[in-house]
Amino acid sequence: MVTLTLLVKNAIRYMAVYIFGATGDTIIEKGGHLNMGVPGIMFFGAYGGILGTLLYVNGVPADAPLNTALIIIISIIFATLFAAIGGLIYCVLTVSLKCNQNIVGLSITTFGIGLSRYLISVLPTGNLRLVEAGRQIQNLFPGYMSAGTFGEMFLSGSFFTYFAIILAVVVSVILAKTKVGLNLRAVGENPASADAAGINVNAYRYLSTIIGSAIVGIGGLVFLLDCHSGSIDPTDAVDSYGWLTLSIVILSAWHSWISILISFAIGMLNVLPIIFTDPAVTNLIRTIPYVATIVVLIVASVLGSKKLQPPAGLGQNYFREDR
Amino acid sequence: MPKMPKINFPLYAVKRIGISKRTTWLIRGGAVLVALLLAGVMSTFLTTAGTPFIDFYKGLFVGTFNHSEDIITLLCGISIYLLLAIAVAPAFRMKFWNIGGEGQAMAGAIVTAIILLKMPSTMPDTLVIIMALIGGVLAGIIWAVIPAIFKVKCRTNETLFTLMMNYIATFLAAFVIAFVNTSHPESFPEIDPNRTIIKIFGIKYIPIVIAAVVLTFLLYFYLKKTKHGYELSVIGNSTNTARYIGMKSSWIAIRTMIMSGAISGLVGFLIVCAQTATLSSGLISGRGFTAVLIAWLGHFNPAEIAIYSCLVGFLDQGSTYAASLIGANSTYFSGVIIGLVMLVVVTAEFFINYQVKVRDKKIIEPKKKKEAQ
Amino acid sequence: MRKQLKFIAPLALAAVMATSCGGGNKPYTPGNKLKVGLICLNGENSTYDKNFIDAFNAATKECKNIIETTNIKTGIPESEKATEAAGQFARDGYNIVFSDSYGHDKHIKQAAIDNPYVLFSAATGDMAYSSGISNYHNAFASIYQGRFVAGYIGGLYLVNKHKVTKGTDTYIGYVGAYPYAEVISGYTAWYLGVRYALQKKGEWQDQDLAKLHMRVTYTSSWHDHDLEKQSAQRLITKKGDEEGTECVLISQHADSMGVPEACEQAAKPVPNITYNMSTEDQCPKTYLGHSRINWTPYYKQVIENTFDGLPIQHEGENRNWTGKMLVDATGKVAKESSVMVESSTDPDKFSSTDITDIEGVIKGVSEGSIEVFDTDNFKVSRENNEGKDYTATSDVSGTLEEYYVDINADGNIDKTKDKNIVDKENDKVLESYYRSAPSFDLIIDGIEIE
Repeated sequence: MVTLTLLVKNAIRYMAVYIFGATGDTIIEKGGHLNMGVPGIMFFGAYGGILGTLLYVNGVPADAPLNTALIIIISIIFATLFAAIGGLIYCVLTVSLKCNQNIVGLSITTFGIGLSRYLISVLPTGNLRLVEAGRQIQNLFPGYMSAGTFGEMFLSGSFFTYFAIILAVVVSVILAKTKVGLNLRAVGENPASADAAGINVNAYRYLSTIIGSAIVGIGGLVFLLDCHSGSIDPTDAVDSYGWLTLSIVILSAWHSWISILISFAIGMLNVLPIIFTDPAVTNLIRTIPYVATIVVLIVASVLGSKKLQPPAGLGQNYFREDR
Repeated sequence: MPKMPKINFPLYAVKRIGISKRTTWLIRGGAVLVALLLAGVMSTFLTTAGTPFIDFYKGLFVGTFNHSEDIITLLCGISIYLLLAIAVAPAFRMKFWNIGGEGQAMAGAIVTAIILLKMPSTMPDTLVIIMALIGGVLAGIIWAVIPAIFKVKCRTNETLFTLMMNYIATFLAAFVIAFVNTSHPESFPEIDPNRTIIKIFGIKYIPIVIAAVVLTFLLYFYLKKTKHGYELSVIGNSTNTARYIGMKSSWIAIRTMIMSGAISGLVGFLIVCAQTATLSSGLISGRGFTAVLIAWLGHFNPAEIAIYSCLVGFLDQGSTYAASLIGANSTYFSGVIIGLVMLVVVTAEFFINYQVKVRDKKIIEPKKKKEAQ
Repeated sequence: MRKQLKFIAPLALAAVMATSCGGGNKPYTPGNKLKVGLICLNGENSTYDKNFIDAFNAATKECKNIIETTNIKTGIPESEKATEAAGQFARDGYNIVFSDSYGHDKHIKQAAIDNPYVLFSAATGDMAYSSGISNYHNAFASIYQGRFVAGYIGGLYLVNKHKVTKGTDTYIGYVGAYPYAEVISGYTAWYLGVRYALQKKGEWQDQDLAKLHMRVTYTSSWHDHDLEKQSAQRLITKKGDEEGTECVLISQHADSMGVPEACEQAAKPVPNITYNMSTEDQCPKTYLGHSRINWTPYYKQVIENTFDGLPIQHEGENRNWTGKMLVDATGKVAKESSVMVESSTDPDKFSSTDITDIEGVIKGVSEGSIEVFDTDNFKVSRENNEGKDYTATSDVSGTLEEYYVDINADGNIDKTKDKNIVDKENDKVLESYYRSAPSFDLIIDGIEIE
């Protein structure tokens, strides 16, 4: 029981990274962009968030306490800003400059991961106030221990943990029920008809990719500030979380509320190496999310069910002149 | 929700009709120079010690051309990028987005390493090497054909499928290493040097360079002069035309992926048998993905791919060396430089295909609701 | 035709150049200023590499009169890139090249074969022993001495602060990387150090000491922040449903801040002995002390001796150098000691009496009056060591009598070529004696692998 508590506790905390990533990427892909730049963008966001936090903590006088709310707000602002820039670059290259999406995505990932790792490696390391900030945001509900095992498992998360869940649900609702969401989905399914219906395809693609990227960036921030409690180094594998995000979007059939469950499942898989310590076994466990994604891809295409399929126009640029 | 006003960007793009090859290459060359300039500037920002701007360029050339061993290593590096890129080029020609070169090469490497290590020492070395070659190529083929079959039979998205196969291959490598070497689970045991072909006549990496040259020529011939090559370009242009003519796209797709997998698997074999004599999960280290970029930039044309491979190989080795001159981490720094140059060159492709013109009118007002009533 | 030339020309050029020059290597003439290089896996951000980098900088600074230039290549992975990096140092005229990671070893070996006039030393490696390559060396230190003292520091704290009760089952924890000698030797020494403190300071008798248990878990990685943190959390909580199995003291063989973070942020913080780094600043509540290898004396020695045309001292015919823990005239850890141990400077944790006491232990271990791997102090049983029937023998009471280890790292035990590291007459294990990299990998009684 104790071990289960430990597993769940960690899975809940780490799954927020995936949820932010998947929610953001769902928005991006619903608009028709298969953004393989997500790992790079997540890294951008991670770096930006840490930079913002550092600026804040360095600005606070040495013996004054840090304000938890400010830590969260400032870090999110910087993370989203940096990640949004990544999304903007993607859009400019694919929408305005009409480059192939896969190519642009891969370039952004190669560049983004390298640059972010490099920038992190030249950050002043071991900044104590950054660690203090990371520790301060760890638990949203300080009294979680009093709720027993349930409390320790599910209520020990940070603000980000719960914000991720709420955001995923909200985004799901927006995409499914609001006019904006429906328009976006139309753009992703068939940009030509959407354009004919008067929807500004380019504007939707730009905004959805930028906003989606911003959300993905928060995921990167969560990994460094929350999961690693501000104790960072450049070998932190933010990018592997980014790649899995692409899988999670598929596994959740492009519904961001389902990604909550999938993210939890993958979070649990990630913590299994605590118990199964044999390196051979651990590596096999690590392939499971990818194998599962392939299975879902196959099943979905065999069934041909529209609900499980990617947006029909995913991965293709739309140029009105080509119509 | 009110209609969004149609704000027209003051610049607009017009597709170029007819641009001379010379202009094309001038633009590309210019892009590379601009990118290198930006890279030098970036080095200055990112480090404070010494004279990073000059050291960067010095490092680029010293690290690649200063000694004959460096040149050979450079040729080897270029060859690997070249092979990985021409492996995926045929698939891309028919718009089959195979980004699984990384995993296919890794699959080839795993099988090669196992054969070279585990075949009994009583067997003649040459035989073992040949077996490893066949095994590596077959492994690459299998890794490539699986997504192909599902694409052909069930229309499964091949981009995502091949992407996933890459990760599975990486973890499979780590699994094999841990499984094989229980006393030192993160390190693959040393392969008997007699079972490697690293040095021939005292020079390293010759098999890799030869393989790259030969296969590039062969592929060039295949794509330009054979019926298969013609079929690929027809399918790539229009699947309807292809069907109308009676081409069996399914079989062509599978056949092309067999080729892709074979070449990628061969790369895996070469890296293990002719370069490093070991296996690690970082063996391919993202070069498969960079090769996709190279293939695209080279318009899936072996000759152009060769040029870009030279560029990337040069940048890779040169910036790795330059990093130590400016006090930067070799892995991260070379990643940044390659990524930056790729981004700039990708952007430049736009300017080759489109001309930018300035619009006369600025804003068109949204139609008032009244008019619709 | 032009297209063909694009390929043939560079190939021809390479062939011509390859046959024309034999590389930039010439034998080194003693007395010429040296060029010294270091190859690192990551960089300063990694505490593991930082330890080497600091030592390299300190040594080269002290030797600056005989050095022409130095360079550190960071971010060199454990692949043929290491061979290339080492080769480039050689071609740039460097005379001495060090590397810092175990995985670099085999690639440095290749570079040594390619460049016979350059001295290569791969730290923590084990292949030089049997390689027969005269310019290829390995180096390590008897870090087990440091681990033992670090264990003593931990045990001392437990006794002083009444965190343990004599005679009750007591659990300490260790987060290790891989289940092989380097790690096992380290944690066994640490366990024995804690045991020694309980015995000497807490007056635990043999039957009490039998109740000291160590829970060990492996992460299969030298540096995995998340898994190390979670593994430490696991050790801090009880084992399954068994009450009283929470670890009261934790140490690690891992490079990230994961374990210290877990100890510091636990609901009830758990004292922590670290490795290679002091976490006093970041983990003030739980940091007790750390041990590390000090590479400066080795680097200095290699540089100076090469300059003077002398071989590396105390290497033996197998070119394996093992640094020892040394004390100076006052009885404290010497500046040139290859093994450093430090306890927390927080006076609330250790009084000045404690500090003197610890120094006494350091002196004893370093001079040999306290034997770390004293075979009378631990028992080895067959159940815990499957597969070692052929190589290890213990008497009826479990005292180790003989243990053959794979000294030449060729993958098998050959009693004619490999060595027995048990000195039965003197009741001790000869760790890092025949070869610098540790060899002891038996699981002694009291240690439980999770």
